Amino acid sequence: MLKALRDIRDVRVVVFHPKDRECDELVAQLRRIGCQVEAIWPPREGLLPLADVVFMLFRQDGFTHVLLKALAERGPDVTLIGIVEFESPAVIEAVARAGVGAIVTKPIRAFGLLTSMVVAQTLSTREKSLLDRIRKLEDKLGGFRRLEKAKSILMTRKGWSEKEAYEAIRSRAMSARVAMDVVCSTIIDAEELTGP
Amino acid sequence: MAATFDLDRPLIVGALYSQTGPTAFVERTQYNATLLAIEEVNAAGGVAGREVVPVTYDAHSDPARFSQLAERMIDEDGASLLVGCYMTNTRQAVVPVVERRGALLAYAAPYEGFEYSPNVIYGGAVPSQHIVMLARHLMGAGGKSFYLVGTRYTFPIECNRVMMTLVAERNGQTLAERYVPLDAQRRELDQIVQDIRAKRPDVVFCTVVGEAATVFYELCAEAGVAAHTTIASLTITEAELGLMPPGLAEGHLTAATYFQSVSSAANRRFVRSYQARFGLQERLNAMAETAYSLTHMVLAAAGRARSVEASLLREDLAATPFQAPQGEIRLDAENGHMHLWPRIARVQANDFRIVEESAAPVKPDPYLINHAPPEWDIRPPATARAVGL
Repeated sequence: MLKALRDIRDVRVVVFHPKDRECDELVAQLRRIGCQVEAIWPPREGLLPLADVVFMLFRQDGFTHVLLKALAERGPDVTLIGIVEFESPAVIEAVARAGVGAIVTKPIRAFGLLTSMVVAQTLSTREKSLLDRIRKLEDKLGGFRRLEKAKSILMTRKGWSEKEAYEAIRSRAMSARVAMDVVCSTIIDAEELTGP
Repeated sequence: MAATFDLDRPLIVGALYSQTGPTAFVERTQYNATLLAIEEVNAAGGVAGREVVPVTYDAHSDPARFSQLAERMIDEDGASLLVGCYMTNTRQAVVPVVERRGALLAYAAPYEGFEYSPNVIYGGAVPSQHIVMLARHLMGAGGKSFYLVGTRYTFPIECNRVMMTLVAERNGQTLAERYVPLDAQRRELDQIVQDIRAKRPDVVFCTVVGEAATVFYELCAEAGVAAHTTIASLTITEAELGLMPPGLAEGHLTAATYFQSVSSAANRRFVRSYQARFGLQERLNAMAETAYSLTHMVLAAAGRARSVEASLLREDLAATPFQAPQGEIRLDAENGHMHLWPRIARVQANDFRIVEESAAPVKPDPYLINHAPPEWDIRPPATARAVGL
C-alpha cells in the first residue's frame, strides 16, 4: 500500500485559517480521516508548531507573508497545502512559488481533501528524497574536487607523480584513521595558509 | 425550501428505489420496509401531527435516473427528505442533488466508506463494521488461500482491497481478484468458476451483486466448489437467497449487521409486521432493515426537531438511540454514519443461522484505510461472542 495512505493516521496537521464554519468543516473532516489536527488563528510570528502537513489560507496580507517566511525556514520537511479563495494571477503566483503540494478551493468541502493530502504527501516525500540524493551527490563531487586539488598541491610541492600523491594521502588517512577527505582538506588549508 | 416545516401540510418523503433492473429484487424490499415505517409513523400520529406521504418512481438501477428522480421529488413533488439508494453509484448520483438543494438523503445500504456529506445520513455498515470480523472468522477457521470475485464497481473493489490487506497480514494468500459487469453473462461467470475449481482456494470472497450472484452460486454448486471451499460474502442476503433454489447456498457465510433470524423483540415485531403487510412468504434482509430503521429514525427526529433541516436532524439523531431490529443503534455525530452490530451467519436449510455476533455496537470508521493494526489477531476479541457454533 502507498506509504502516504498507510500512514495517514500518524500525520500531524496544522490548519491556518480564520476560525469560521469552513475551518470547522475542514478540521472535522481531517479528524474523520483520522489525523491529529490543530487549528491556529491568528498565526504568531516566528512560531511554527510541529507539523507534517500545513493547510494554509493564501491571502494578500501580513499573516500569509509571515507564515510563508516561517515555512521557508523550516525547509522541505513540511508538506504545504494551499487554501485559495481567489484565482487572481497574484494569488496563483504566490501559491506556485510557495511550493504547495496541492490546493484546496473555497468553499471547502469534505470531498477531495484525503486525495489532496495523499498526493501532496507523496510529492513532498519524493522531493525530499530527491533533495537528499542531490545533497549526497554534491558531497561526493566536493570530495572529488578536494582530492584533485590536494593531489596537485603535493605534486607541485614534492614533485611527486599523481599516483605517488594519491598513495601518500591514502596512507596518511589509514594511519590517522580518518577519511581521505579530511586529509585532503588539511592539505588544502595548509596550502592556503602557507602558499604563495 | 428544505428548512420550512409547515404543520398544516403533509410531509413528503421521496423513496428512491428501483422496481425494475438487476438490483430491483433487493430495492423492492427496501422500498417495502420504507413504506412500512412510514405507515407505522402515520398510525402513531405522524410527524408532529403531519401525515407522511411517500412518493416513488422506478429508478431502473440507473444512476442517471436516480439523480433525475431525486431532482423531481424535491423540486416538483415537494419532498424534503429522501430515503433510499442501494448501489454506491446511485448514491453518488444523488448526493450533489441534495447538497445543492440543502435537502437530506437517508442512505439505506452498506457501502465502502470514504465519503462524508453534511446532507447524507449513512445508514448501512462500512468495511470496519463487517469485513474485519469476517476475515478473522475465515482465517480463524483455517482459511489461508483466498479467491476474490466481485461486480466491477467501487464497493467490491474497495472491499477486496481491505480483504487482501487482512489476508496478507496473517500470512494468507490471495490467489486471484476477478471482476464481472453488473449484467454479467453466464459464460463469463463460468470461466471464473472453472478457474476457482482448478485453483481450489480455501475461501471464495464473493461481492457479485444483482441477479448475477444467483447464477454465480448455481455455477459453483454445479462445479462442486463447496467441497473444498467456503464461500463468503457481504452482499448475499435473504433477498439473494430467495432467488435461489433451496440448498444452493448451503453452508455459505455472510457478514452483515442484520439477519432475519436475529432474536430480539424489536425484530420479531418487525418481521411480523412486514409479513402481515407484504405476504407471509416475504423475507427480510440487512438492506430492508436499514431502510426501515433509517426511515423511522429520520422521521422521529423530524418530529422532535420540528424541522427537516439536515444539521438539526443529525444533531437530534446523535443524541437519540433507536431500538432497531438489529439492536440499539445511533448516529455518530462526527461522521454521520451509524453505530451498528456486526454479525456472521451461515446458510442452513435455506436460512441464515447466526454463528458470531458483536457484543456491542461498533463505531463507524468510514475513513479507515489500514484495517490491520499491529494488535490485529485471528482470535475473536473480548467484545465478540460466538453464538451456537
